[in-house]
Amino acid sequence: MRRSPFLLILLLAAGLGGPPARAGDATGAFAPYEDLLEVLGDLTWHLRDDLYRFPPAKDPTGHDLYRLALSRLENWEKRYPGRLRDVVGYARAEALERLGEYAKAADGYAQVAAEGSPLADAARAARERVAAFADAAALPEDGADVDATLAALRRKLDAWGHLVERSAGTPYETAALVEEERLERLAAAVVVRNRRELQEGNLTAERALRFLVQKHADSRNLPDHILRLGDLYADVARDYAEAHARPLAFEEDEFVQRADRALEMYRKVATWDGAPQKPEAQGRFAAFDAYKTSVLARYR
Amino acid sequence: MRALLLLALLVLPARAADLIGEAASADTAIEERVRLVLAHRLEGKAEVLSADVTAFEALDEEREAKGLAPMGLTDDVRYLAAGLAFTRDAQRDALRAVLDAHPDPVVRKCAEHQLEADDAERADRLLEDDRHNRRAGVVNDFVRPLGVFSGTAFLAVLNPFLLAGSAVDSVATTAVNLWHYGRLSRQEREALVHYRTVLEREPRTSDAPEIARAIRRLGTKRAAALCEETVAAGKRALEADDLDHAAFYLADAHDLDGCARKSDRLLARTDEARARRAARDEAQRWPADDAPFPRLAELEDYRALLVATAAGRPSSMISAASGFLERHDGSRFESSARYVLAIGRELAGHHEAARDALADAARDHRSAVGRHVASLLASPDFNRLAAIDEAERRHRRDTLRYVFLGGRMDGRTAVYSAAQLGATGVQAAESLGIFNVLGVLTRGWQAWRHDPVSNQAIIDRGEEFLAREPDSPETAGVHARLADAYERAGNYGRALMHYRAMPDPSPKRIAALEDKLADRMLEDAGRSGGPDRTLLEAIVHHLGETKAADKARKRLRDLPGTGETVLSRDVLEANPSLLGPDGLDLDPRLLDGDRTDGELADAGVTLAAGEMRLTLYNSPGPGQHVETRPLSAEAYARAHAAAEEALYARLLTAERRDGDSGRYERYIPFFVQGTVGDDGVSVYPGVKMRRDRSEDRELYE
Repeated sequence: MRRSPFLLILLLAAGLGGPPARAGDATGAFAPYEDLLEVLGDLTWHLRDDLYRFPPAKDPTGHDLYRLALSRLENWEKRYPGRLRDVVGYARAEALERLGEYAKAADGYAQVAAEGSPLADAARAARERVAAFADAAALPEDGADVDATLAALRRKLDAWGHLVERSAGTPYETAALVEEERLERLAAAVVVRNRRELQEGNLTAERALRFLVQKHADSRNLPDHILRLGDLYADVARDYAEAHARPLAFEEDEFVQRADRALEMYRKVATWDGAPQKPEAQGRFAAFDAYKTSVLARYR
Repeated sequence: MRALLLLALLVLPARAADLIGEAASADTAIEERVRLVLAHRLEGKAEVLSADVTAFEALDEEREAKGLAPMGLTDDVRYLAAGLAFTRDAQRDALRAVLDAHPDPVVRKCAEHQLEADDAERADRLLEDDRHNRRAGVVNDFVRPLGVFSGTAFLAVLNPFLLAGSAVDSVATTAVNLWHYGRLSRQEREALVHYRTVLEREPRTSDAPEIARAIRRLGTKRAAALCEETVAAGKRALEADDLDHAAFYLADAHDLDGCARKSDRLLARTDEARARRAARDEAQRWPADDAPFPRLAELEDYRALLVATAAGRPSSMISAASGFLERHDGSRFESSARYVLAIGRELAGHHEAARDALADAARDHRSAVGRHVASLLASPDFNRLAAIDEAERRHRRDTLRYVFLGGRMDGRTAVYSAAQLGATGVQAAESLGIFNVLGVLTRGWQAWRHDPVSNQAIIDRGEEFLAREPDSPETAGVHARLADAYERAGNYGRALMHYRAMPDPSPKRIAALEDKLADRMLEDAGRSGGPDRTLLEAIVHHLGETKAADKARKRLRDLPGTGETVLSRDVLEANPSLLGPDGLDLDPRLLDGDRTDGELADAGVTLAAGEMRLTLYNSPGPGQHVETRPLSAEAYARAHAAAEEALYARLLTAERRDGDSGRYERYIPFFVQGTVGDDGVSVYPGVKMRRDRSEDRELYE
């Protein structure tokens, strides 16, 4: 009996007597919503989020908040057609705008603006803003060949660059930056994909990816850009190994120099705490390191 | 003929060079015989080469009868002849004959390597070692808990139940080990691959029937293990509610031969869980069937609330929500209005007030909005500082749990604990490890030296906080907490970075962190093969004041330069022929121990960039100096080739023994070991395990 208090102290000290870890109220989060304000509240809270620097918000169940809000609003319209139509229509357009569907968002704002709603003025202003985004988004992104594709991307990038300048300092600047980054990544991918056909293709592809890394140093996609640069270096190393497959043509130092550049890039992200790409980078590092070891073992 | 000889040298680079080297010192007749042997080898005339072996043996006998030393070439010729044997069996017999004739060390090593490289031989050896290690493991695990000075045995003086506990531990462990005894091992996987390779290469070998039986036995075992592993992975994922991975593994298991029966029940459970998840996801996308509608009296204010929220203007939201709460006390939309008020305040920058309003809304558990807000408040995304607190609290709890209760709670300890409880009832609590004072102290020491619990959750939350709220007044505190977490995790570079980001970092702690970082880098620099010059230079350049930097400087000094070939004095002493005109062409007196006529120091000779550098002792007086001798291109090439050959022979004949095992240790099959581990101090005897001799271990994990 004398032991009991001591045991209790030990158990308490070990944290076993402490409160359990808190967790979200999953039942509440997954239940059908009763009040439209619940949906609007979540959406409004995240309307000014910086989607360029940070990933889109999630609800407590782990779903993308904008997509969830959109589907909830659409289902409200199906379940209660006509009830609070202007509010639902306006919020729906907001969700579409955050999801990058600018043309559909412009239509949604236009419908609300045409109705006699207290939101009409706000809807007209939003429509005007989103229409410019929709025009830029409608420009083509591809062409008949590499040059035409790159020229099309250049034109579209100019349009988005103009929108970035116009919306500087507003909550909408980040949306324009997201789109500009996406297009620059696409352009870099085109160069990387066609590097064997381009003059000094490897160098041009490296420059394109390095430009992406430097220009978008604040972006949430920075680890992804670094991984792509690592992929390019890895491809270059593989190309070298394939082009110099015969033992006497293979120079270990040349291969190691190329392979290590790829590994350096992968390692940067693999040790980047908090980056969602960290596990992927760890996998790529391990995979490419194994490839390097296997190639070196083959030639030693 | 010269061309043929040259060709022979290319085909047999290592051995032929030896042969020529040895032949060079013999008379012309012997050189002619060597030419013939090489020609026969290149023509692939096995019978003629056998006759050559007999002729060389006869010549040696003849020389011996005349009182002359044997030529020393017979073993080389025998080895060449073995290479021409047509079948695996004949080749192995010939190689054994080479070894039986006591050849020189280089030929012996080459012959042994050829025998060991045989796939069936490797597989047999792997299986034999595996069998030995399994048995030794069972015996050692049986004996270990009864260790004569273990913490429990020491405390048994006070309470004999503790000794009973050790006995139960021993029996339980042995039972678990025997249960897993037949499990497919890595060695068996590797052996299976080697056996298959032998049959593909030499289907007609005399060992074929035996190998085929082994392949069938191991193949069946491997298929069963693959099924078991895949189903277990699926089950683990299912239990962790990771339904996508569970579906992948279980569907994969379903397609494996004979595995469907084991996976189908779990696959059905996964399908049900996925259907439930889809239904749940769908449910949250829809409004309730009887979504409440405001009363007429509150309709206008409710609508104003909606419009203000949709427009997202904070001032309108605050005003509309406050107005609603003021005018409609007790409304069923009160929680919704409080939620809007909280969002309005948050967007307006009044974070504390927003948090109060959210807490108010979360108290209403009857409304859906109240429950929703409660779940928001509980999510780590909402309060990042609280998330760091929570992660640190978990870390402290897990560390204390480790120190007081021990780190592992696996099947073995569970069986052990249950057996003790069953045997001695409540008093068994004493022997469950809680009162093993030595164990607690040991684990406390270990926890202080190396954090046994992961700090990743604290690090992730902290880094996210800094990324999302870089201008927060809490930033300095988060940097400090991250510096601690990274230091505990052994990531001293990041710890240093965060510590330096604090307002007034202590130079003393910075120096301590730099010391730890430099020590770690120095450790890493020597990890993979040879020393890493880049890492050593980085230590010297960036952490020059640390003790590790001094060691790095020394190691850098000792590193050979790129393209240098270093022949230390002991290599030259072991290969005196290197000093001859066909090698370095040096005066033999440089190794005679007399410094007055010039004496090489331990650093010996370095060949680099067309010159030879000799490190010589000063005479008279102490110290050493370097003498540089330029060489003609031809002399340099000759010296370099001779040096490379001597270094290769040295590497080939080096004794392959663990650095930490004694010379005669292999003749003693037992060991006595003392450990300081989770269970306290323990000393116990055991059967030695055999070293894993696989060269490509990771290919069979």
